[in-house]
Amino acid sequence: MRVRVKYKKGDTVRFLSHLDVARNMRMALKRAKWPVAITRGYSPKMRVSFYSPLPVGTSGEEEYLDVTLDKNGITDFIQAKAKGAGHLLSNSDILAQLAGALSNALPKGFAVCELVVVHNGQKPFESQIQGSLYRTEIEEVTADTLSSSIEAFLAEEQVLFEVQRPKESRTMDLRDFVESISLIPGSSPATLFMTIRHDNGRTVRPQWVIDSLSRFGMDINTGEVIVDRLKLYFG
Amino acid sequence: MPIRGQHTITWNDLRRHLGKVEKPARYTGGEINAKHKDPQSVDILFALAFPDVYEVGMSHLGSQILYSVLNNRHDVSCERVYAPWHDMESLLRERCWPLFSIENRLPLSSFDIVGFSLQYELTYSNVLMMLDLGGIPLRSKDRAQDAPLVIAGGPCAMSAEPMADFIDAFALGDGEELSLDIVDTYKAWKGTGRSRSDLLVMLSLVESVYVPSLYDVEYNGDGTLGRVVPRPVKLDDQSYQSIRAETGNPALRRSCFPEDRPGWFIAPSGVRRRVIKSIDHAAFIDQPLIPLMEPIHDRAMVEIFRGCTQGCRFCQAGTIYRPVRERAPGTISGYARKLLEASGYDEVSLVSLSSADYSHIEELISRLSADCSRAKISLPSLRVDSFSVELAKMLGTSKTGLTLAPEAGSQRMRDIINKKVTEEDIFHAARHAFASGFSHLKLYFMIGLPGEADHDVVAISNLVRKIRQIGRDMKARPTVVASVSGFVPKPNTPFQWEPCIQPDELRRRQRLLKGGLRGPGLKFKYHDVELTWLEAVFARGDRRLSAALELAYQRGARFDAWANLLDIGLWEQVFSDTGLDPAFYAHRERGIEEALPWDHLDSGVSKTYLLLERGRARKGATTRDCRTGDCVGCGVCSRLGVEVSLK
Ligand code: SF4
Repeated sequence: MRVRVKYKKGDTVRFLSHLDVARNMRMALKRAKWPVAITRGYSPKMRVSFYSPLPVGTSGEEEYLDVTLDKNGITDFIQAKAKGAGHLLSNSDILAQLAGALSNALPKGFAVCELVVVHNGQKPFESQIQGSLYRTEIEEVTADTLSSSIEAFLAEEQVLFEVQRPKESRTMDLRDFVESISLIPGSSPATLFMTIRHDNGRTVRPQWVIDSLSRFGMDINTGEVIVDRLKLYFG
Repeated sequence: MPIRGQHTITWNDLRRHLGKVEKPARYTGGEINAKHKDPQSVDILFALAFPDVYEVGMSHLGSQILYSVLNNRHDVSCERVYAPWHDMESLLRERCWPLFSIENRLPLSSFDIVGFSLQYELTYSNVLMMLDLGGIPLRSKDRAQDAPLVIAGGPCAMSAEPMADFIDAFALGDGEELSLDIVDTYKAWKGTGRSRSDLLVMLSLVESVYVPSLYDVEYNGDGTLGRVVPRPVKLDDQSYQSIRAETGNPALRRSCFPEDRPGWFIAPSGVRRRVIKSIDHAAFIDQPLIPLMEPIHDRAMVEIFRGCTQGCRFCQAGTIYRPVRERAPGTISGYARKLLEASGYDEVSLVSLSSADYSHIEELISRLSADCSRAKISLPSLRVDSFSVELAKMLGTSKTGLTLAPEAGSQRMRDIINKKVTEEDIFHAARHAFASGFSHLKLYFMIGLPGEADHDVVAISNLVRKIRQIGRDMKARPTVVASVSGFVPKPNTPFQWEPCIQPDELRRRQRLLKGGLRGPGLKFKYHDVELTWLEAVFARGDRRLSAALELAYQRGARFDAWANLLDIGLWEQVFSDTGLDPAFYAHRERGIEEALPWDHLDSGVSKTYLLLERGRARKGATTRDCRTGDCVGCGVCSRLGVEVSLK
């Protein structure tokens, strides 16, 4: 049985890297005694998949991970919980039990939003993700000073951006991924919402878009940009 | 003093600026089991300060133990603080933020007590950085009445004269009980309105606390140390009466408050290390701190025994943690199970100075494998013998790596350092390892040891090549890594009088090895010569070095233990500008009659015993381990009133 966990990476844990998030989730699953299936092989691992990683500094309201449960393990888990409850458990009871146990085990700042069972035969989840909605706050900048550079950005056909990676750098067309940017008029700090496309796991970061705005008349100290992902869109 | 709980850095401040620094999660805390107490609700605010980055500090078991011991007290809130990385230091300076604690983000200066863990000499410049960024005057004498009490413990405290001007009080030895005694003394002082110097006097009366400012240091004409003597302090009437009255120990009262000098206090002439008698149920952390960011050692840790009496003559830990005190196998496996459950770790490390020496190690491992199914068990320190390889095999240690430490290449050298393994033991272990499927062996060696000749150095490469050959003969496709560091003579060891060899000579000996360790299946790694040099200066330094330390800090020395960050030119310039000769400290052989800067700090092992060991080293005679009950007379047990405790 595969369970999809919708969870929140909250404000106070925004500075964790994706690897740290994954490590915390795995450890929380163990503390919660979830009957997670284990891979075979020399160094067995929990069968857990993470999607659409968030960078350091970005929070996420609705993030996802899939957990494959062990067949025998889940029976034991259910029996143990049924004993506690004194009656048989429905499917939704089981999910509620799992959710409750995980909630209690997660570090502060994380939360479980929802659990659903994933049925076989679906498209890979990563490729179902079509877009992300981000909120971005830019300190010490007002909306007015930002609006013309955003307009200029949106007016371009192509905005090439060099993405620095530890080993190589790669050029991406930001414009190709940015669906829309809307600025809250009069906001200070300037607050804007961006819808950014995902293409089979390929996507760009709001931070890069902000960085590129310097080419359109905006001068921003990029450390002071706060990004939250509010939502993922599926197709 | 800032009002408690005020002047904190808000989360909003932090979140707006941390995006600029590398690994910002170093500063945001949120660890599972972190204690966030209301500063207003406790009597004592204690900052546990670790002078290295977060992920190193979070892997330190001793700090975890103290955190738990201190927070178990309702009247104490213990928070943590780590050395900020360069980018964070810049941010703090740019924003005019004080260095702040992880839990409640309180400025370091708002704590009652700031306690540093001194694990390594090359973190001293970080201690100064943390004090400075925390808004605490660097030098003890410049601290006002309301400044925090700055204390330090850890192995370096046993010989920390270079830090004496910066630390108000050192805590020597096991910290579990000692830290609470210090807290109690502070608490007794706090409400009284008495002076800060009264506090220091009171602390100097606590067993195993060393207050350096109460001692005068005299030097001889040739620059060597004359003696370290307590300096009589005139107390005002009221303080004299009450501190004297509070001194419970009659002998101490007589010697520290001499009858012929009423009104005067004289600190004890020496300070003895604290030792807890049993660790069986002491020091267990049932609510381990679990960092959200990956620490260096990402696993549960259970201490299985404290102390080591193998008696390696270069090893300081082998002296200053004596005697051996074991935990019972049942206690250990119970703790391990609880820890794994509470943490979600999938590995537990059985921590000690030489884990294969544990009396019931096989029983313990099989018990743990049964109790904690699925969890990996690791032993951080193996011996060089077949038994250890067998243990590694039992544990299912990753077949890609097995680490052993023969320490020296020739039998002659191994006898000198009292590493009691023969070449046949080593080969036997290697054969066993290859036969068990290990293909990758990492071997630790030291060069620059006392009495070492070129042929002893070359013996390392010969040994390593023979091991590779054994692997090849067994068709094991071996890789043998020789990791070679420069020997630094350490205080409280039989080699404490020996010179550290010159950097150029150390480089020459490294080159002697290079040729022999080239080739397929061989790897040669060596420690930076500069690190060895600076460590050798500070390891056996005296108080005069504080001038160099302070100047080096002001000129930008930070994280000296990180080879790529150590600026050796800066240090050389600093020594010359302060008129201090590093060679005097690093490369000079001490006379056996010479007073040493740590003679007044008593590890429990007698100087006579260390001299005896030194003599045996020179003769190439080995000394047995006393673990089995056959005392070899180091002095610890009788002098500190403890005994070897096996389970
Ligand atoms: S006094 Fe004897 S038994 Fe105790 S640690 Fe020293 S050598 Fe071992």
